[in-house]
Amino acid sequence: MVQGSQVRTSWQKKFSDGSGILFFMPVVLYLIFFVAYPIFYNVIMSFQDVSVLTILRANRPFVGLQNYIEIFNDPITFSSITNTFVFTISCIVFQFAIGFALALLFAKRFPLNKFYRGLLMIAWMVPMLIVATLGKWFFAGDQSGLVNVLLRNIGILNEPYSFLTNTNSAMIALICVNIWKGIPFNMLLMATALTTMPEEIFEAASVDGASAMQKFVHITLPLLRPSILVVITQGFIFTFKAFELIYVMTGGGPVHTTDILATAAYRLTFVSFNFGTGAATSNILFFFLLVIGILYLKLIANDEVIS
Amino acid sequence: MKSKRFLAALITVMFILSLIGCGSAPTSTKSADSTNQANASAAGAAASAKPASKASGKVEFMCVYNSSKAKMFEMFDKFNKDNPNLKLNVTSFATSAEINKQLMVLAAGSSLPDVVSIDGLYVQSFAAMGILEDLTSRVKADFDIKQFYPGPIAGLMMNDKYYGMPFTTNDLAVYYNKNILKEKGFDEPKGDWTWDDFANIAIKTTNPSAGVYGSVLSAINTSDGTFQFYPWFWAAGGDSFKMNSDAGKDALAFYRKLIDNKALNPDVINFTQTDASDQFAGGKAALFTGGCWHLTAFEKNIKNFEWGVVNYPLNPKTKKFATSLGGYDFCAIKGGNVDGAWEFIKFMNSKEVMAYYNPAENYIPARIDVAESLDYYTNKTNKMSVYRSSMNNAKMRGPHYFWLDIDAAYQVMLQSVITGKDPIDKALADAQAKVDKIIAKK
Repeated sequence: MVQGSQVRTSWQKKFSDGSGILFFMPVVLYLIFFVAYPIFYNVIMSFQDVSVLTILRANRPFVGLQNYIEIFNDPITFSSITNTFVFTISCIVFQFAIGFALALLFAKRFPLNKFYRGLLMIAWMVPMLIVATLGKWFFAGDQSGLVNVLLRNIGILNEPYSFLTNTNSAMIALICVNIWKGIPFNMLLMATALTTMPEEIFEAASVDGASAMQKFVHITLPLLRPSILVVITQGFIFTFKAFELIYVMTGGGPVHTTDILATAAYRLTFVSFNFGTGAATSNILFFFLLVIGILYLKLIANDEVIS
Repeated sequence: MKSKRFLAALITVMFILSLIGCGSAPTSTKSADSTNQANASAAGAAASAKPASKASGKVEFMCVYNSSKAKMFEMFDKFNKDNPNLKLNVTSFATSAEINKQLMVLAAGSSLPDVVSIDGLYVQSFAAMGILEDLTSRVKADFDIKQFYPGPIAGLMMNDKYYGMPFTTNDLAVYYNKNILKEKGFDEPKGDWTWDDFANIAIKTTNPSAGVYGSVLSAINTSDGTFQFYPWFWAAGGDSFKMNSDAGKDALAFYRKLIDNKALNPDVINFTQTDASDQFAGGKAALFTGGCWHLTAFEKNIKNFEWGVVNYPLNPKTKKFATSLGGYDFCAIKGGNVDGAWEFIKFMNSKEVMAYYNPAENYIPARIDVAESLDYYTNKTNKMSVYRSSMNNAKMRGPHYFWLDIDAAYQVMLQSVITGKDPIDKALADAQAKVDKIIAKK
């Protein structure tokens, strides 16, 4: 209660002359026009029958939950949701583990450290479209595909295997390419976090006879917890709405086995002109991201309480 | 080859001359030149002779043509020069999908251009959306519609109204690698070859150690993939809205046969038509079902083997072949500068402009009178003549304003069968259920 009244008085103080409003209005207006309004518009559209016949009508027919019923009656929606999670979680686990391991490696001093670190950043700097085009060639099923050439040269495969056109392997190929692309981002953020750790604690631990493993588990990890949370949540959100990679490498195929929510929503809206169901699909995507966003805020808040 | 190019160049020069002649009033006497008389049609002359009295102002134009299509931009400049009251502003987009997206976004914001060039496949959808101007009376007044191929016209009509004019059209035929065929002892396919001949050649020319597949096409999950499927389906007697039929079974079984015999590159489900054409140009396929527009790249890039073009093979049951029809139309936007847009459409659809642009990019002019008056399309020694004569067997997909949704059902069906995910019967039944539901929608 005390806190509440304190908040109120500080607000009153800030706005007594109205100047505060002027300062934050640009941000509020920006958020209303470019974030809140599109989301609101999309929610409205998902409850209307919006096809080429109705999109420009002033009063589009209200159909209640019809669009949602339609997409949930379509097995592609469920496979898209599963695919989105499989893609995101697999990517995050490997990207983070490898990125963190590399960050730890580059925290050590060794010759050409900076050179190799710089080299690794290339994957991060290359535009996604280029990465996707390269990925398509890496996993090509004919004689030219790099992975096929490698696997055949070391004797694992006898004849070319068509990774991207096989319903079992297309998703794995996409995940591999996305992991490669995502490692530097994870490495960079974790490396930055590592440099902010106070040396003294490690020195004290060494004096107390802590092993390297103990230092990692009991000092490094707890100290890095906030950074790890940020990296994983950001990576999750970024990967969850991945689009270009899949659009270019497989277009969601073969037979929708690599369709994720983002590509499914795009296809419904801009390829089939099914705007209503497209909006409903993007809202499912939005719902998941909202939940993750709220969880993230809660975790951050808890962390602040602890510290 | 050389004589063909010389001929093409000669025709081009003739048409430039005729264009200069017909276009501007003061020099119009030049069109009386005897070499140009054949090209100066009554309709074309009438179109350019009429003063652009009502039309004035800016004409905003959206298209997929970029400055690499130099001849197109020459025509745009000429239009501006010939029509001092009008100012054509061109905005280019990378792909047809990009134009569709822009049109929808701009429609929602009521800031559409005045005239657009769109893939004929989408005209009905945009007409149903209500953004296209009904051009019926103008079309009837200024053109003799019998002079146009019926396929493209069917695509841009809805409820007996005209929503645009066709400009370029294209269709598919079969490219073959003469060297590979000769090596395996095959004669060059003739116009009366059959599906069995196609399969036989594809199976026998497959050579895994050289990375050569007997055939390549596009079966990607976009309209590219289905564009290449319909010729087989229609030749078997298929009806675009009823895939669950014997024709559907026959066409899919044919794909399955090629796949099972490794005679079709399994990557086709990720190949766009351009990807597939690259395989052929790289000597990695004996047969490729490609479009007339591929001629441009093939003539430039294929150096180390001989190749030819033949129409699609005949279906053994119906004894017929079919091909898919593509192309771009000009449409005027409702509420825009319709008079200005119509002047532009009339200009582009004149015989002279059609004859000038289409051969340069290896498209077929939408006007029969133009296509049949040019040696480039009629001379049997020209590869393009195969595409022109196939126009008689070319069908428009749909047409239906929900066609894109229907097409998506075909895409899933095709991919399910090629990957072996579903048996043919199930894939057909699933697709039919979707299509029936789409057509029932109001």
